[in-house]
Amino acid sequence: MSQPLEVTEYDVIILGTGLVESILAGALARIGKSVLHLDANGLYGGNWCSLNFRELLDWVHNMQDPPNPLDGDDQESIEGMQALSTNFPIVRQQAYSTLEYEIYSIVKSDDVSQKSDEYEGPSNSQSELVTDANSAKIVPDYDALARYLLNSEESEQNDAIAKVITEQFKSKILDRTRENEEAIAVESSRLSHLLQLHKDSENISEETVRHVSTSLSNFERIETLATLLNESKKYNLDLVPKMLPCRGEFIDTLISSGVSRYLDFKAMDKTYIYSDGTFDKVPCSKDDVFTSQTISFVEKRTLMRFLTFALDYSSSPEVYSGFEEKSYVTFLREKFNIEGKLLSAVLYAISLIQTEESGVNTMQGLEKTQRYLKSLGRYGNSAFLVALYGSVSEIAQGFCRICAVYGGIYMLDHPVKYILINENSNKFSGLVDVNDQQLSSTFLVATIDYLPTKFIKNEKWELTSRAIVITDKFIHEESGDVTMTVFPPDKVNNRYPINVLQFSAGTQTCPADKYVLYLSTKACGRSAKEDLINALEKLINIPTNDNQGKSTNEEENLKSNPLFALFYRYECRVFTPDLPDNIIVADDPNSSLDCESAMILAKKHFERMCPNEEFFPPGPDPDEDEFNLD
Amino acid sequence: MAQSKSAAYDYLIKLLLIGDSGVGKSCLLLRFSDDSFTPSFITTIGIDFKIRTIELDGKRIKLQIWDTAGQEPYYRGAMGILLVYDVTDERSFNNIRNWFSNIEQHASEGVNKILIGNKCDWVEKKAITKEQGQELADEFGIKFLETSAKANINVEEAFFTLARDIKKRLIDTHAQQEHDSHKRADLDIKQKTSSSSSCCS
Repeated sequence: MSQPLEVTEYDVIILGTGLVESILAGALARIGKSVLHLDANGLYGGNWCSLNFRELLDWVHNMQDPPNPLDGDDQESIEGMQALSTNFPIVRQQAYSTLEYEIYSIVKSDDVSQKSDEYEGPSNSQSELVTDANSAKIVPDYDALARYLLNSEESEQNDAIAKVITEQFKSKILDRTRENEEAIAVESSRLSHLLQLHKDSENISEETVRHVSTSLSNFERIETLATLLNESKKYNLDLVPKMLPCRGEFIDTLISSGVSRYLDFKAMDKTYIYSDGTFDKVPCSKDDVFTSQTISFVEKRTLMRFLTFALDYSSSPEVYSGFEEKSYVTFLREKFNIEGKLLSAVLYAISLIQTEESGVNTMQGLEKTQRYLKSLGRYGNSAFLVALYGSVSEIAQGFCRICAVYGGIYMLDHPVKYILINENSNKFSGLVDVNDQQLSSTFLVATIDYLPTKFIKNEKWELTSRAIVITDKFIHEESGDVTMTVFPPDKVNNRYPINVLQFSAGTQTCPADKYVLYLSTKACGRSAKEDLINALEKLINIPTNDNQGKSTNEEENLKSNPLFALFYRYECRVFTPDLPDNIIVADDPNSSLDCESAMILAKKHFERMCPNEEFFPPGPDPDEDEFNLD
Repeated sequence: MAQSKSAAYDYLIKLLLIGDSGVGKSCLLLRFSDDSFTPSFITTIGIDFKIRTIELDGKRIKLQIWDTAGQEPYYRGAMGILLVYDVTDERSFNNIRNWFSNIEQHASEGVNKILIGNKCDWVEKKAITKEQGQELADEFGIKFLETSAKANINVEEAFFTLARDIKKRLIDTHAQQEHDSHKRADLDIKQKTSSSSSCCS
């Protein structure tokens, strides 16, 4: 669809539509720079993207099975230029690792009690699927298949066939037609019904029943998958979710740039902290401290005294003098007598420390505590906001829009073939795009994904273990659209704190009656799943092979059940660039829970490119500009 | 003043103008929002969105209408889409199919759409008949109008028709609750700068 560009010279070419790149795009166009903004993907967001369910699944499969990797260091010469091919597909692979996902059977409240003598089509609860049955075009003989499964005594054969069916469904599911999805949904429900009937009848060995139930659970998983795919577009799942602090550079720029007009937000409601089998609500603000029922009167006084000090700690240096380089935890213990649960709450739920207890010194800790406390009270009793429709990509897109409004040109799905370096000056001079068109600019802004491997000196990369989990209930009672749950170190065999964000439909992250959990922690074990599974088990019912997701006791019935869980490692690629000085590297999302640092980095890059210019001077406000004809 | 404006509506509806460049999306928008016409637009720079508050069945509805601003269209949160072609430009008409499938792929399900054949005052250059437009709209199962931003023909009707359909879908039906919750989510970070308010319940 893309045609050659009329203009081939720009002030700045930007590669990638992640948050840092997009902020820069908006800031540069705003002061009159000509900007060409390209993304090799068809979606905004780059490494900060949010995906619907189908896109997420495709992404996982692409990661596990990379499409023909290219060698990124081919060189050619074009008229005194060194042309370096970009290595987009390769480095992108390196940012994510240990991916594994699981699809679970949907737990139905009444699913064992269904009985009938004859198969009469799916029951009422599946009426939606029945209407689709007529339109389903692909109908292999699953009845025969089911009979075969049941009659065969050969256990291995049974499993093999179950696998084949699963594979067959899988290929259909991955084939992007709605027709296929409907067929799968209908057929899997028919089959599970049939298998259920046969299971209830006589003359079947226990072993066969076991195999049938395994197959049944496979089909139930297929049904789950069909459900998720049917509602795919209602999901906006963040690969690296971020919250927006209510005070700071980021929110101020959102307002001054006008990007806030494009966005809707939800405030984070509550924070919970895990300790010995229970989750306690954390009193974060002074109001909370007053009304909290989980802490004693003495603790209230202690906490109040500390919060008052921390909010303005620099005016009482005598309090922390001598502790500056000591660990924060020592300071809290010795100066304020904060211990036990309260200590955990201050460190991990209020100061949001991401490392082990001893990892933060007093000055760093106080700064973090103060940052949190200062963010409270601006938009209700919350320190953070979350943008609707995907927490970061939506913000990135808003900055792209500001860029476009001020004349920036946008092309998605537009890869770059070569980066051109002038052999004499060793400066970036242009690039060759997918259409073999040569485009030039004074500056290049790009994420590492777009840069030749030659430039990338791998240093210590920051690894986080992450999970995206879709569930059927709130994890805590009476919680709102956005909550955070913190597992302090060592509580669930974890070396580092684990943070869990829960988003409900109000954030436009998922459909009504579904919930999304984002788990993250500093990586330490062998895989993301290993790092996070213990915490996840405290939050929701994870079916084991024995119970197949059918919970036995009442407590577990109240817990939420998963439909889908994806675990992955994400690497924030920190490195010292060995680059021509007119190439600016846009940063990856880091491990922080909030996006504040992205704005600080973007501003720093902006000041390097445009030293004497204002970063987002206020512009006209279309909201003030209403022409009222009535 | 900002305060009185934001308080002066019952519902906010977000609309999007989609179509090839040069079909007159910005002109339609300016005609509807400012009742003005500027013939010499080369390309859309500087138009972000426009606001106009209309009244439907006694409800004040604030229309926030987004021009694509040269950006690849972005559909999240849009409740209605005007698909615009130029009746004097066959290519822009043929491209409507691409735009439509783009919408199907990226916009939220159930988003209201209307097909608009703009520049209908330019009779001598007309390349696409009204029947052809109607036929395409019927095929998509959406409404259709021929408009002229220049001669101010059917511009009001186009926006009002779409707004009315959206109101019917989102406000007059059971979806009202969902809509209300969306309305509450509209945390206006610009206007609540100091005091702690209960806006984010």
